[in-house]
This record gives sequence, structure tokens and C-alpha cells, in this order.
Amino acid sequence: MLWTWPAITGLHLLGHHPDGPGTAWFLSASGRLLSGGWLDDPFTGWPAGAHYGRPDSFLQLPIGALLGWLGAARLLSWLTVAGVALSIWAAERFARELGARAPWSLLAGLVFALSGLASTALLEGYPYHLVNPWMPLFATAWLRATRVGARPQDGVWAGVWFVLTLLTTAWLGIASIPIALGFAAPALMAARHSIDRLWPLLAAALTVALPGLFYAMAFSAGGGGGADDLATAGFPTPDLGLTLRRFLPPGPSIDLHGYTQSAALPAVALALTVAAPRVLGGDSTGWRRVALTGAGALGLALAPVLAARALSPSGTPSQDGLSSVIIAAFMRFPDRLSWATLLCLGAVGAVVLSRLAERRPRAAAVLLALGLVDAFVVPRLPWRQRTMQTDVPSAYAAHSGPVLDVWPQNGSQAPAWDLWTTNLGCYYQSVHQRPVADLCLVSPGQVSPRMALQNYTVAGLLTDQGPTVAETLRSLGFGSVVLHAGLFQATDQAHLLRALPTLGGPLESSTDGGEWVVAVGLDPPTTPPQHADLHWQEWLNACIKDAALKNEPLRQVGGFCAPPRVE
Amino acid sequence: MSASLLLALALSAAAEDAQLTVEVVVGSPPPQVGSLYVKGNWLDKEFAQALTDDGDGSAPTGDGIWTTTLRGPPTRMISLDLIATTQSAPSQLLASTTEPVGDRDRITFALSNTSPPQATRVALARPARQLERFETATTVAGLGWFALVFGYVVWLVDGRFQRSEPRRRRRGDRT
Repeated sequence: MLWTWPAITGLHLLGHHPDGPGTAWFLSASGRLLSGGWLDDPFTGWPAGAHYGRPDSFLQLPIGALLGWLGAARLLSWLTVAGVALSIWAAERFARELGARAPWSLLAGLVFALSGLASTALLEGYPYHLVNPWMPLFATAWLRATRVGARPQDGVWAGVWFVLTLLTTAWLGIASIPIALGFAAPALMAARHSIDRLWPLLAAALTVALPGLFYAMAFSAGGGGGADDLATAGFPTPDLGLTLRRFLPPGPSIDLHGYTQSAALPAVALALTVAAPRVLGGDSTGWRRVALTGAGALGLALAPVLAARALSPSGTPSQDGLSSVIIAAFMRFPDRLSWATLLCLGAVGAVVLSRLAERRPRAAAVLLALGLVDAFVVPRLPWRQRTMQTDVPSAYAAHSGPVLDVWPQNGSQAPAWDLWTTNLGCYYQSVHQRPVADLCLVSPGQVSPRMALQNYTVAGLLTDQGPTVAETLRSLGFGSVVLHAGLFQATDQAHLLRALPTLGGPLESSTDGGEWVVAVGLDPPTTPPQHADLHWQEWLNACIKDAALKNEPLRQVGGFCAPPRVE
Repeated sequence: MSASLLLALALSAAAEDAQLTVEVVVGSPPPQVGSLYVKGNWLDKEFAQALTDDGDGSAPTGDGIWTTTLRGPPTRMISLDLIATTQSAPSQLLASTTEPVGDRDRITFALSNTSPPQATRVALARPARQLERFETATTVAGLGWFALVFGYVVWLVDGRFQRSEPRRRRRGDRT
């Protein structure tokens, strides 16, 4: 509770970056995404609707569907606390499987669940990465399945936990691959002499096969960009120097210039693992292969180019192929592979600590306390946490029907401004429950209708074409335009506020909910018009060519895109 | 007892939303800057406040850290312009930005010693060189932490095994 404070209160959205509001939206929309067409959402991407075939976390869907009545922000906060607690418990369990004893096994939980990577997930705003008892449970079952005397059921359980890890987020699934290979290596080598060692592995493979196939099919059908789009979507592959710095305690500029990215390694677990050969001696529990697996994962995280070659040894597969996209995604955040390092070295460290405690319990207690320093002082949690309010502007309630949010483009030097406006608009949707034009999960390469329509509206208002804009938006079925007036620069703000009444409908202004917004009603037709997706996409492409979506200052938005006529 | 503590912390967390405080800080402006002020929008209200080096906010007086404190109803973002009065221009726009804010946040700028000065967002109100040294010091402190922990573990492990050696020697001596 303390590490995730103030999540337990359920009163805030947490995080330094826009991912938090976006994650809250996803939880709120989960029931809708499951009950309509598979992952289709008519309430976003208005007027064409949206298909979210590549969510980062499939496991959030049933959680959001079942518990969404709690409210998106509260659910997200409580899920964070519960997730961290479950992850600590599961990592402890893995450490005990390896031979650690309570209370020293707690070190494994601290190292895994309160790590630098965990702090990044918490502070960035995607705490579902922390709802991860699955990876330690997978490691526990897989360790059993790859030992002498393992039963096929051990392999089945390992497969189940791996699938749940993958469904939590593909990042954790990727991070589990070193564990899968590292733990299985002795069993695979021994299988030449004893076929019995293979049965649990085969059982695991069969358990994973069907869900894995489903995942691959859903991924391929999900749309969104391929490897090239990912490569240019920001967060280029860090060089060795940057990666090494990420593994050290974070500096003061990390939240401002580093996008909160930290993978600080735990000093206590590392030191204890280095001491393991001296303290533990023999390898009756399998600690050596666990330690080597953790070290290997760290090596791959430090040298992502080598890891990419290992994943794609034969050359470059098709640009949109699943493996190509996985490699491109991994290359953006190679340090996430060190989740395996944290799990493995945390467990080995806990075993060493347990052995040391047999003779020097007080010294072991000091080390456990130093582990708390690694967990709290190094990432500076909970002091670094930032809160956002959960209520939304009341002006959204003044009208009905789909709403077009109009934000300033290039409104800030803050990183990820477009993501801020998208995710806030989507979070507001989770409360006001009206359709919005935003695509709330945007894969690299996708274009949001809200961007095109927003810029069309602003260009129209600034050139005194309000009635034409209003007619166009009505024909697309919009019920209101909401101008985020407080975020525009003074001259544009004044001009837009003067022009807003020319849209023709009743105005409503509010300054609650953390923003000053002005909403204009549009009185749309009762039956929203149907639009062919093809025409809509052509119009979007034309607007892009008109530089409506490129990084041009507001006054230089060229072109006044006329949307396709309804047929 | 723990339930009471939790309730008190929760109430304090809720009370934070009643009023928001944001500090704007500029560290050690160059000599050509005569005065600094910020203007912008806090929800639907415009504000214009001068920065001073008189200890407003968290900085002591005369330390070269210019500050002003903005207060208002809860807001997610504020847009502000940082403006300087220089020898060559009575009103020089140095930065124009919209910043996500939380309670007790600091928006800190560093100004370059150029004409006109360039403003960049920084994490601490220190000159650029000092900030680099601060970042380096953090890295060194991190390495020092690793060294401390490693040293303690080595001492512990060696101490553990040193205790066992005299017993073996004694056994050898008996034979």
C-alpha cells in the first residue's frame, strides 16, 4: 500500500504521463468491447467506429467487464494495489520453490514487484504490468516441469501460467522467453538419454499452442502498423550507455526528460547472487540455472541487437509478420527483458539470504532492510508519484450524442502531447459515456479521426466558416463540439471563442473537472448517417496530405478538407 | 490504529484537491535579464505574476533562484508564457508551453547566457553545468550504493566462512 500510495484511496488517477487515463478508459470500455463485435467499439472513432484488435492486455478485458461498475479510476487504483500484493506473494512462492525460507523469501517479492521496472509501470500509468503473479507462477511450475521426476501436469500448469502472462501484456510474455529456454535447457539436453524428461515440456507446449495461435491470429487481424511504423513511433533503441544508465538509480531529470523510464537493478539481490556459489555450493534445487537465466536475460537486455538476431536468425521476415513486429517492439524497450532477471536473481538472492540467516540472522535482517532501500529509496516511491483528478468537466452533460473534442494541436512542449489529448478525451468518455471521435488505442501507423476533424473544425472557425463546419459535423452525426478553451494560446482562444456561437447551437461552459471547456450543441439527426469506411479513410488520407495532421502551427493549417458526402 | 492512520491519510489525499499550488522557478537568470514574469491561463482566469528572488515558495532569499507561486482551483494543465525584460527588449517571450500539473508541482526553467536568452525546461533550478554534475553525482551515488551493499555481503560471507575454518584446523591438529 505504501509503495503504491495513494492508489489504495481510489481517489485519483496516478502517473506522470498520459498512459494512466488511457488505461482507465480501457477498463471502462472492456464490457462494451466484449459484448458487441469482438473488440469493436462503436463509441470511439466516431463516425466509423473502432476496432481494437491489438490491446496491450487481453486480461484486462474480463477484469474491466466484471468490475467496471467500481468506476474506471477506482478500479485501476485498487487493481494496482492488489496486483503488487499478488506479485510479491507469487515471487516469494518461486523463491521458496528454490529453497528460500520465510521471512527471507520476502526479498524475492520486493525485488520483483517493487523494482525499477515496476516503478516505471506505476509512474508511467500502465499498472496492469504489475498485476503479474503469472510470471513467477510460470517460473515455479516450469522449474518443476524441467526437473528430474517432473510430471506432465507440471508442464500443463506452466503452460497455463505462461498464457496468462502473455495475456497480461505481450511485454511480459517476451520477458518470459529467457525463463522458458533457460530452465528447459538441461531437460532438453537430458532428453537425448531419457525421453521421460520431454513429456512435461510437450504438455506445456500443447497447453500454449491453442491460446498462442489465437493470440497470433488476433494480433494479425487487429490492424495497426508493422515493424517500420513501430521503429519510427518514438523511443528508438537505446544505446548501451543509455541502457546502462537505466539500470542505475534514476536521476532527478528522469520524469521530465527520461519519460520515467528506469530499470534500476536491486543491489542486494545482485550482491547475494554473486555470493551464491560460495554460500550455496551444490545445486540440488536448480539455483544455478535460475541465476544463469537471469544473467542471460540481463545480457540480452544490454545487447538488444544480439537478441533481435537470436529471434530472427535467418534474416528479415515480412515487415508486418508477427515476429518482425515483436522484434521491433522489443527493440524500443529492451530493458523490459530484465523482468526475468529480477525474478530469477530475486529468488536466488532470497535462497542465499535464507542460508546466511542460519548463522547470522541479524546480519540477514540488515540485508532484508537494505532490500527495502532498493524498493523505496532508489526509485523514490511513493514520493515521485503524481496524482490527477478523476472528475470530468460538467459541460459534457449539457448535450447528447457523439462529441467532438477540439484540443490545440502542438499545444505544449510536454512530451506526448497528442497522447495527452487522446487519452484525456477517452478518459472523459468513460465518465460521460457519449461516443467520441478519438481512437483510444492507437497503434503506430494509425490515424485518429478526431485529429482530422479537430483541425478541420479549427481551420473552419478561424476562417469564419462556422455554419459549414456545423452542417458537416451534423451530417456525421455529432451532437456537440467541446472546445478545450483553457489550453489554447490567448489569440487563438479569443478568436475561437468568438467564432464558436456560429456553429449555431446552445453553449455551455464549465471550469470544474480540471479544465475550462466550452461545449456547443449541434442538434444532430435522430438516426446517425451510415458511412462507408472506405470513403472515410480516403477523406482522412486527403486531410493528412493537406498537412492537417502534420506538425504545422495552427495558423498555417492548409486546406479545408470537405468530408465525403453521405450517400 | 492502522485503520485510523489510513483514514487520516485518505482524508488528507482528498483535501489536496481543494486548492492547487504550482511553483514556477527560474534558476540563476543571466545578467542581461532584468525581470521575469509569467502570464497564462488558469482554467478561465488569466494570471500574470512576477518572479522574484525574495524567498517566495521554497527558495531562500538572494540565492539566484527566482520563483513565484500560482494557486487556484484544481486543474489538470496550465498554459503559461515566461517573459523577460532584457536590455534589448522590454518584453521578450522566452517560453510558451502548456504543462500537465499536480499539486505542489514545480515548473522549472533554465535560461542560457545568450541574447536573447533561450529557456529550457529542467528538473532542478541549477545552471546547466551544475545540473550535469548533479546527474553525475546521482549516478556515482548509485554505484556507491552498489559498492556498499557488495562490500557488506562480501564481509558477511567471508566472516561466515572464516568462523568455520578455525574448527577445521582444530580437527586437523587433533590428528
